[in-house]
Order: sequence, then structure tokens, then C-alpha cells
Amino acid sequence: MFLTELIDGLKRYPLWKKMAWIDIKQRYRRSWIGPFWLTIGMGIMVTALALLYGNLFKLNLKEFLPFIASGFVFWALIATTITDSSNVFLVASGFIKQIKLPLFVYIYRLVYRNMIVFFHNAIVLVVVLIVCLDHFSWSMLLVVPGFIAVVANLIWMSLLCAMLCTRYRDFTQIVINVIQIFFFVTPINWMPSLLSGRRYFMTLNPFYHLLEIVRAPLIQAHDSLLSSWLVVIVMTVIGYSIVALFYTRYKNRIVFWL
Amino acid sequence: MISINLDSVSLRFPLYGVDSFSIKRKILTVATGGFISQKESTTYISALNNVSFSLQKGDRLGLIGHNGAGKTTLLKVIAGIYAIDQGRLDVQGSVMPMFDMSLGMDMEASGYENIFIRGLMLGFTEKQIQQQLDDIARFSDLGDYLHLPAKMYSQGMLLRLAFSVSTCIKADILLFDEWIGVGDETFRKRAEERLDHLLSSAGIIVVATHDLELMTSICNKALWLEHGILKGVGEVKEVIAQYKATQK
Repeated sequence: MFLTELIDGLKRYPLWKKMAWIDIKQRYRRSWIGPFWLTIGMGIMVTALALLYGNLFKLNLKEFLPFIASGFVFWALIATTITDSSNVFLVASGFIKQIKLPLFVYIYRLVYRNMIVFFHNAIVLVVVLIVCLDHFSWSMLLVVPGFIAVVANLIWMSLLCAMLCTRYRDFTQIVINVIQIFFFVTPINWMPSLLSGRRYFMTLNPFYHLLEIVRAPLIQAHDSLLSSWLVVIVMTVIGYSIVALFYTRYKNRIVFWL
Repeated sequence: MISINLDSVSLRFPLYGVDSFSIKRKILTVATGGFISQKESTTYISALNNVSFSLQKGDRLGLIGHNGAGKTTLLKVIAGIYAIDQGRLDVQGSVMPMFDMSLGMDMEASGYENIFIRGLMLGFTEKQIQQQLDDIARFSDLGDYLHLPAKMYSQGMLLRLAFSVSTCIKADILLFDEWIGVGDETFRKRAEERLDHLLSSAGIIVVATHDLELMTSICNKALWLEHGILKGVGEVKEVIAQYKATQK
């Protein structure tokens, strides 16, 4: 049931792709460089942070810049997708009440929109990697399966979050705050090596592992890659199981929650 | 096979008050031990109660009833937007809801873009829409305006666009919530012709309207709802007569 709906939704890709592009275009209509403002914004952000933290912590910029750029670009994808998901059904309530479409269409629209944003931001990452890395290796391509796993996890997280936030409106605020806290406790703008003891502080954080499977291949630090992949796989299975239960039970109610 | 079958269909709307929209109350009641009463205090509106009827190909059904009698709810149940609580619902054939023709219209997007959004929403492929594009453009008579953003359109032009897109696609079952009015005199004639054509090619039509004259002219059957309960279903004139008799 859950699986068929998940696939039915995927089959409507011309629709959610179009909707996602319209969301993007709407944001940047009549702007001269349009969504490339995202690239510029990300570029400025990453450079500023790298300079600031690099100086504060006396870090080697050539090492720190790729770390912070990859962390930031992927974190932006994860954080905005989850934050946006809190009102994804509310925004689409006009549609949901008027026409029967798989609810997944709205989730895919959200995830796809954030993927478009991600690929604009990723330009910064590519530039940073080319400038800072001394050598490239094929193992960097491991970022591709990592990215797929991240997106797969974002789908279940968004659906769960969207359902909770539609039913209980206070959840939206909770989600925003929780994501903000995770931004600070996850090694994004500080390196894991700074953490002398208390490794569990990091290893218990699911977002750390999500980030690690995409960041580690890029900065060629493979120590924790395998263990992070294991955590992510377990997380994916558990996540989808929980969401499947929730969704099957409450999907018919969602229209009344709006 | 085109048919609609409802067998003792019931639907309750859970009513979420200002309070139950927040999680506070849930937590508070758990803390004070009032968990069960909270569960029971969810208010429900019985929107449809034990409704049974069936429609075959060729049926044109009019829905009669006061505001809030359940006409729109019934239409939305047939459209698959609301899932029923009890009973059995069986709809065979492609369903086209004509509730909100401007649904999905993006004011910033051009007329052409809007045609695509709407078409995709109704389940068509880009290719199919491409094939219909000329027809839609010709029928709407919007000419070069189709290249401009929809926000430049007048109210009447928007209506034309929406009407042209919604009616270019044939479906087995058409659902109307109140009849649709379209723009200026010249367009109205063509719109009516097209609507007639659409109606005659549709297998089943269900219309909710307060206009009983219109209903007698379009429909062969009528269904009378009151507080979500079916009060009568059958030949259109008989049901309207029954309904009118109680209104005096």
C-alpha cells in the first residue's frame, strides 16, 4: 500500500518536476541572475565562515575550506528540506482539497525543489574542491551513492514531519528549533578532530552520519565512512518502516487536518 | 464500464477546534490523567450518513439540498478526495472534477505554462498536452496573450483560459459543484457549445446546484440530501417535487 503510493507518486514526475521549477522561478522572477543568487550567497557564506573559523581555530585553510564547503552545502539541502516540509501540505491545501493526486507528489516537489537549489550551491563546492585539493581519486565518486541515500532519507523525514506538522501546528516551531540545534552540534563548521573525548556526542547524531557519507568521499577522509554507511542504512530501513505505519494509518485524515 | 456505486456510505469529519490543533492539550491531559476523555471529546460532523445509490452510463444526476446538506462532500467522495469511513464505494471510469477551474493557475507563469501545469495535474503527459495545445490556444482565443504572465490577464481572460484547458480533456465522469459561468457574450456561446459537446460525450455527470430549473434541463436523475442523509433519489422531476413540497 505504502510502497505502491510511493511509486505512483514517482510516476507523476512530469508534474512534480514542473511544480518544483515553478517554485524556483517564482522566487527569482525578474531577477537578472535568478537562482544563481543561491550560488553567490553560498559562496560568500562559505568563504566568510572559513576565514572566520580558520583564523579562530588556527586551521589550515586548504584543509578546512573543502570541509566546511561540503558540510555546508549538504547541510543546507538537509535542513531546508526538513524545515520546508513542515508546511508542505498546508501550502498545497488548495490542491489537496480539490483534486486527487498522490500525496507523495507534494513531497517529491519539495525534495526536488531543494535538489535544484542544491545543484546551484554545489557549484561553490566544485570550485572549492578544484582550488584546494591536491589530488583527485576515483573514490570521490562515492559521493553519488551517498547523495542518493541522503535524498532517500529526506523523503521519509519530510513525509513524517509534514504529517506531524499538519496535525499539530506547534510541531513546525519545534522542527525549526531542533534543526537549528543540530546545526551546531553536528560537525559542519567545526572539525570532528576538535572533539577530544565524548565521541558518542557525534556518533549518536543521525545527521552526522548522513553528512559523513557525502562529505567523507569528497575530502578523502574515509575512516568513518563504512560505519556511517551502516548507520544510514539502518536509519533508512527504520525510518521508512515507521513512516509506512503512520502513513497507512493516517493518510485519509490528512485532508481533514488542513 | 462506467459506473458509480455507493453502498451505505458514511463519512464523518473530525472537527479540530482551536485547542486540539495544538499539542499542548494532549500533553496536559496525559499529565492530568484525562487521556480517554480527550479522545472522546474530538467532535465529529456526520457529513454523509448511510448513503446508497448507483449510477450507470448515461445518467445525469443532480444533487439537491440546503447549504451544508452534504452535496459537495458527496462530490468529493466520488472524486476520491475524501476517503469514506464506512460502506463501499466503487467508481469505474476516469473522473474529472470541475470544482475549481483555476486550480493550480500560477499568476506569474505564462498562459502556455499554465496549460501545462493544469494538464499535468489532470494526469496527462507533456506529449498529450502538446498535441492539445493548438486547440486550447485557438479555443481560448487569447492569441499572443498566451505568452504573457497570467497576472496580465483580465478576469474574463483568466476564466477563458481555465475553461479552455479544463474542457479540452475528455473524461468518463464529470463532477460539477455549481454550474460554471464563462466570460463575455461571444465566448459564452462557444463555451456553451463546447460544454454541450463535453456533456454529451461524458458517461456520467453529477451536478450540485441550487438552480432547479437548470437541473431539470440537464439531469435525468436527482438525489436529495439533508444533513448528510439521503431523503430521496430517482427521476429528476419527482425528487424536485418531493423536495419542493417540504420547503413550503
